[in-house]
Amino acid sequence: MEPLFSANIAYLLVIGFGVLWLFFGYLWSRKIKTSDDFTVAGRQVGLAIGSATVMATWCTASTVLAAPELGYQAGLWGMIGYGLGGLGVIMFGPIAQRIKTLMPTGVTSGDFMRTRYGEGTWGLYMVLSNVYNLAFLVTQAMGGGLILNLIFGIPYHFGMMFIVAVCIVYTMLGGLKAVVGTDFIQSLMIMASIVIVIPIAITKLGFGELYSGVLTNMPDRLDMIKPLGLMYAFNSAVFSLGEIFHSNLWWVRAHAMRDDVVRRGWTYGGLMWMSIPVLAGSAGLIAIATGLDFPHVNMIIPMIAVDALGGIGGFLIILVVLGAIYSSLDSLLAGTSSLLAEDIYRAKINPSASDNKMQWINRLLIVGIGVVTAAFAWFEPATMGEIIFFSAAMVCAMIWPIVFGLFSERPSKISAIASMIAGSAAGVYVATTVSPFGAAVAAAITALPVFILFTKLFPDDFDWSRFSKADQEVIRK
Amino acid sequence: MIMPQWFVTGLILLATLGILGNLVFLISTIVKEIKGKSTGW
Repeated sequence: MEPLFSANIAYLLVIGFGVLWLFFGYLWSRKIKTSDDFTVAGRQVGLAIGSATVMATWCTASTVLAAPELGYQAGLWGMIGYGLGGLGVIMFGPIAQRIKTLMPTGVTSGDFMRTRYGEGTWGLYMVLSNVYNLAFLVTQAMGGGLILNLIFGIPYHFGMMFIVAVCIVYTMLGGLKAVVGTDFIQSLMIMASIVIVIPIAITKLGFGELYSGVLTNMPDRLDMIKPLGLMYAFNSAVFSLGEIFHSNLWWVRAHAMRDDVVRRGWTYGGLMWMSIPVLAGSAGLIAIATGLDFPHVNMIIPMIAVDALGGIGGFLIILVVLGAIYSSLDSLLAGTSSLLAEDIYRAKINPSASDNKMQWINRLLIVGIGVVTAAFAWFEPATMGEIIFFSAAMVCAMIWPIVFGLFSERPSKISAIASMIAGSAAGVYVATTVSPFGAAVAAAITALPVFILFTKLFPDDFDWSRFSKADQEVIRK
Repeated sequence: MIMPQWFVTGLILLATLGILGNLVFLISTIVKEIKGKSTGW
């Protein structure tokens, strides 16, 4: 199909935005004085930037481009079900508050797993979490390259490498400080563009015509009592709990925000995010009502935008797509690098590493992880989608050890390991034999009774002061 | 159960107003925080 823009304009826009992020990365790198500035943005981030970074990180390219696909294929339940993925973000608020209370100078989720459940559980956590992070990184990089190719006609390898390289450089320069700063701008880009494009497209069509068109062409898309839709919506909510609760991407943001805004930051960030897939998903309804002939489901929103607003619509879609891709990829780079720097390098290799050395280790890891990501994404591995489904099922098995381990002294390392293994096994089994969409729920539902049973059989009496002792060790270093 | 038109219209309007409200909230909050030197960043 014909790209939305001429090749020159497409390259100009994509490269222009890349240069903009590099400029901000350089500008904000001058704010970096300590390792804390680099890995947790100085721990004083306020409500506006805090809630925006939460929203932007959770808003991937899939949120704006796959939501119309769900709107098209599953109708109202697809839109609402995707939106329920924001529940995990909102429910992380109290957890983030507890994390800050327990570990005021902590940095990573690995800190918690090691101190709370010991080395064995920490090792299992690190393997599962990093497999998930790598799969997520590669799929985001691939998604970026594929979308730039599909929408703008930019060759896959150039687009993918360009996005990854820009992310590496500005994240390496400014660490989480640059990531949350660019996230703020990117969140404004995403929301402002989507709230212009979709309402104008619907107004041009008319709400009456939208409804009657869907009712005539695909009436089942307006059906709210569908077992498959209910299963999808429930799985989406559970999926988000597992993805968010375990991931260092979110733990570093908990540590980055000020105490008085951390809970509200997640609540507002989650609410902000929930509206995006619902509104973007309604583009799927427009496609049904108008009988849009699209070459690929990811093209629904771009085609509707250009149809409603011409070149301006195409430009606004560039803002949404680039904002969504960069905001997630940079967060993954920063979150994964700090997890490896703190939990492998500082904890296992060089416990007396200086503050300056930790900054450079983080930077080296960002480059290394970025290069590995680009190397995998170069070959467009078809198995990455499956890996992310399997690893997501596994991380859903970690929900209970994390939640209960933060609030109760009773769960022990045996209950944590048993529930993680049982939940992971159930998730993988369901993903391979029933449906990948049921894997997260199966993992979480299986892990819970195992966790409760083993906590009853092998209870712990965890001493909460061990977190402050671990914190003091970090401070002394 | 096929949902009526008011439900579909309401859902889309709610999402639109939600995003507009979020934009106003983000911009007004950042302006307030910049004035009060409390962006923390």
